[in-house]
Amino acid sequence: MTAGHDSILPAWSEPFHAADGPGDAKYLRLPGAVDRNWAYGDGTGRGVRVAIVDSGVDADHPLVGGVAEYVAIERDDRTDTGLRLDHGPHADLYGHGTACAAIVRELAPEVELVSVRVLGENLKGSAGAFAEGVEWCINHGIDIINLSMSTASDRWAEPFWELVDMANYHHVLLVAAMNNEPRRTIPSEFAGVFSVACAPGTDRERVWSNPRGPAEWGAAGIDVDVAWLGGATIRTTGNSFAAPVVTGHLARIRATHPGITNWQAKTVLGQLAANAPST
Amino acid sequence: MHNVAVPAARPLARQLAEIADSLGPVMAPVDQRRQLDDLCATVRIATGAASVSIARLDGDELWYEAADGRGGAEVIGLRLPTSRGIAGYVARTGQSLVVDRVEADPRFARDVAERVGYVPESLLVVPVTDAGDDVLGVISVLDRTTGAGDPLAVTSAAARVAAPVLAVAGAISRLGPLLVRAVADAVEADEPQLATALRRLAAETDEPAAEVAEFAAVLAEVRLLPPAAQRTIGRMLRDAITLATPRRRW
Repeated sequence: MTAGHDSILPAWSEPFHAADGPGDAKYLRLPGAVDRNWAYGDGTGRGVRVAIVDSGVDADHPLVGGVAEYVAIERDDRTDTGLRLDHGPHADLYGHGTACAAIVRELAPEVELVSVRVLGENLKGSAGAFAEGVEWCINHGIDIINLSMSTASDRWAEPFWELVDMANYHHVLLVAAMNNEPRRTIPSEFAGVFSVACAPGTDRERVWSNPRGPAEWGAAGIDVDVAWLGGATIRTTGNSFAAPVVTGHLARIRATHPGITNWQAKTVLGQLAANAPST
Repeated sequence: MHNVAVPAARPLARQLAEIADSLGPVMAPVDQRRQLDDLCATVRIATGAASVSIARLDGDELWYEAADGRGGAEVIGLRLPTSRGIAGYVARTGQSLVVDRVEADPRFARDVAERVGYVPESLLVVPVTDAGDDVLGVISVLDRTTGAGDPLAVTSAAARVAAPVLAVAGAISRLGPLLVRAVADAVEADEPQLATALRRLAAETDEPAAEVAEFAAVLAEVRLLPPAAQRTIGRMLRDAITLATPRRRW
């Protein structure tokens, strides 16, 4: 917490901050324990392709450590969708994507980061562009998608519902931040994603499980330091910055267990949750 | 206002249309501006903030319409692109953003800070959205302290109150220039029906200005009503014009 003002509690994060937290994680009593060594291997996330669907990523930021591939969704009225894809290097327009990328890099230093920029100039409304970005990821060998944004618009519910199912059946893990405000949050409210809100503390090694949802996972996102534009670091609060923590943990798991599916990965992450009952 | 196309009126009408293009955006009913100012004051008190402002999204720009607190007077009237900055991110994504230690961001709205002579340490920006989740504007809370409630929840609640006000403000700001442009077009084309000129404008203009033009076309049709009805509606329009006044008088 920063001196001089109270910390903010983003919406959907409340269960993680209740007196008894979200209760115990659902724990499966397997014949052998799922421990961090088995789940995370060397913890590097080596070779896992993680897409940051966001405002772009500043590859030169010291905490980002490079970007393997770029895709920018741009407006183009000559195409059927009104959008086109640019594959040249791009900048981060706001800092938000750089923040998410650096968190993933911190937890899984050897991932391949792919910046999928969906907030380019002249894009009217972001939901269509980020749906396009998610679809590109599903069709281009991305292992894990970090989507630290959402839409509250009902008209996007069905397209995202289809995308979430598509991601599941392509064994792409989709991590989505809950909105910071108590309104519809698409696609993060869907059960097929790893939906994330803020848990207590700033320790990014801890992930909480909330078996009652809709924020199914909790991670550090309140008063956290994150990378920003121009090589800077800022302190911020938001479910946006908790989601990449879960993405980082999943990158470790996916590197150690290639091709692991959504439901398998949820089981593993749940066994390791900070609120898993002690065995 | 009947359909006599006086040749000397043409250049005058064209000039009026050009002036209206630049004047229009700064026109809005006084009551709305007061409502937004009051809302800023309420949020400022509830969050213990140094300053609170409300900006309306117009195309790719945020137009600062109301403010309360430190630097408030200076921020009103600013127009900033949404292509950068924390408020720009919120306007473009509809996602709220909380940033503390703002000065650590070298690109943080330097121009704003220089113009208002005040660099905040922390910033909380919440989108104002309509029922369809389209962004109408943003509320910015600068340097909150210990307030009466969760500052994000308080500001979000204020955003729901601001939404209909900003929606109406947007329509009003487009109405003036559209009317004058339609008059100019009608005179130029010797078009006797203002409604026809407005409908043509509506067809040529992007949303949401097209909606306003369509609405104005309906108003133009009022001319077809009996004289007594026209006089009544005329009085109502004059009242509305009285409410629309240049910003410097507020």
